[in-house]
Amino acid sequence: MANVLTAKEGYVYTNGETFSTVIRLGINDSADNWHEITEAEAERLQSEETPTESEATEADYINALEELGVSFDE
Amino acid sequence: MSLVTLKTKVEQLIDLAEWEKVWYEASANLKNVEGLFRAYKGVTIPRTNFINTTTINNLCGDNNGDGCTIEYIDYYLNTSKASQAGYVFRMCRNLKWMVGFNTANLVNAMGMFFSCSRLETIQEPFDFSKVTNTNNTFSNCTALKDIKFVSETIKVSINFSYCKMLTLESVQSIFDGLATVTTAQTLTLNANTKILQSQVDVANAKGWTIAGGTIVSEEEYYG
Repeated sequence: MANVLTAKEGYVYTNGETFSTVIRLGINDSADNWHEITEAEAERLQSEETPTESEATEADYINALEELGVSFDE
Repeated sequence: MSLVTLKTKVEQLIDLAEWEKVWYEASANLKNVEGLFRAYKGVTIPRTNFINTTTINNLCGDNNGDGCTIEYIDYYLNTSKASQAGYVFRMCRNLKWMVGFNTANLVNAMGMFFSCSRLETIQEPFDFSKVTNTNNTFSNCTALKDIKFVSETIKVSINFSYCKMLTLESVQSIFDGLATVTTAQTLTLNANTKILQSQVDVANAKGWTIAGGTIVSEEEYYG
């Protein structure tokens, strides 16, 4: 079927965001948006995880309790 | 001052029942609860009123996975105003089940359950109608079985490739959750997730590309 892409052995398809050996194209998609890469390359790309890190904001909840009359010795 | 220290101080002042009441009343004032339970060591988070909270990024999430030890959340989080839930439960490795939380105004679902490797069940359906960021939302959720979505609310690409334990009901709910889209969006499933050609056909017609999954006969699908 023209709207199904099946990667050859040792390869996966990717559109830069998603990796899979079988792609069943939706009506808005095209085979031109997908290309084959090796499984090893796909693993490397997927292992690059850059989660964001945030600092806890303590002031909000301390202030909230202090508004209720709870006091703390620092 | 960490939340653990804060709780210790409050417990010195009043008994536990009062603490929980004070906490619930106080938490209604909170708008940003980033990192609030990051270091929490209980089996479940204290009953918290998120009624005015707009940001729950990293609520329990921790980059190292050594922080929040919760195993379940047995009440529905009233996070109706929250637009940000980035990494809200990141690496909560003990988390097994939850009732769920209100996502009606959620925009950022990035990494919500990143590496919640024991999470099996989320009881209440998610409304993803305003969500625009689903990067790593379910990455490494290898034990996830039960999840539901409000019908036709998923509008951007979403990835369940790590979720190899999804029930048939969950898979159907995911397909039902797909909205009709006008640009190419992709639903990614685990390679071994059983799906029907009919499910793929409906999704394709709505504009969704389906990556992964294994098409089986109805006989095999329903056993």
